[in-house]
Amino acid sequence: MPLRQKLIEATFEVFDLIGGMEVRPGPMPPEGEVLSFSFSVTGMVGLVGSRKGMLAVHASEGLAMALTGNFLGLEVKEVNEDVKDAIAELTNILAGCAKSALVGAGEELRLSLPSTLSGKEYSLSPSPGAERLLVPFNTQAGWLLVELQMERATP
Amino acid sequence: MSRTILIIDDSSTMRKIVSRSLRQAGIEAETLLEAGNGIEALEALAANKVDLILSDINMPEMDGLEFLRRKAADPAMAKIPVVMITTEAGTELVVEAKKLGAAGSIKKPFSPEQIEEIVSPLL
Repeated sequence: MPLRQKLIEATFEVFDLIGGMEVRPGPMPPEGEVLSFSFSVTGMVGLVGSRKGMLAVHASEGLAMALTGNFLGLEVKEVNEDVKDAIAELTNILAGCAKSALVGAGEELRLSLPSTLSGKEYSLSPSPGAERLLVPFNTQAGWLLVELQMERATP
Repeated sequence: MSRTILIIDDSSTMRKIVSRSLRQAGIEAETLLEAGNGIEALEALAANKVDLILSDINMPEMDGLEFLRRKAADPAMAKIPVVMITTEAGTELVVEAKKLGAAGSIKKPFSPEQIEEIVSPLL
């Protein structure tokens, strides 16, 4: 199964089993190297080993707060440490899915611990020479974008 | 019956999700302890009588594999069953955890039914 499809199924599984909300494929972001975000939360997990890479989950603040509320069973009204922790854990789960797929294809990889960033406006550029896979989603509470960057395999 | 369950995960969100899933699976614990890494878990085990441990693998300070090694080396806690709850099901880390004595593993995300299937026989 292609990696894109595995990430789609893993995202559906998280939202179904513990997220408590429906998620569906969303529109691709505008073409361009730099991804720009407004009022968003981003989680990142590094992949290191035979190739270097990174899996990121970008979410609108609305979705990040709603998802955290469903995870914890409480109402969340601001992007606080709980929200960052929830997005970090979502990123961790999807990075585990990516790692399993890539290890199955012969790579040797380890996952770093997740980190997060959030704010009114920020932009992220891809690592030079990295292959980038973008998988967008939509929910009633807002949008989600899963991004996988991997160093190109040496021939 | 009075039971004490220890949940080890560096994510406070995941500790709460595991705790809720245990309740939804009908697994009641008299006392639910939480630890953010292996070091905190060893401290909790030294201070409490624990019946079951649910542990993440990838954690700061002391990961789940090192925790299993230290626990196995202490006769007072060696026999407490540990179930790994991890994003890395099926990888070499889970194989290593089983070699170090883990009684089972559950892949994140999980349903209460999956928790019940693995955890109930150990209590």
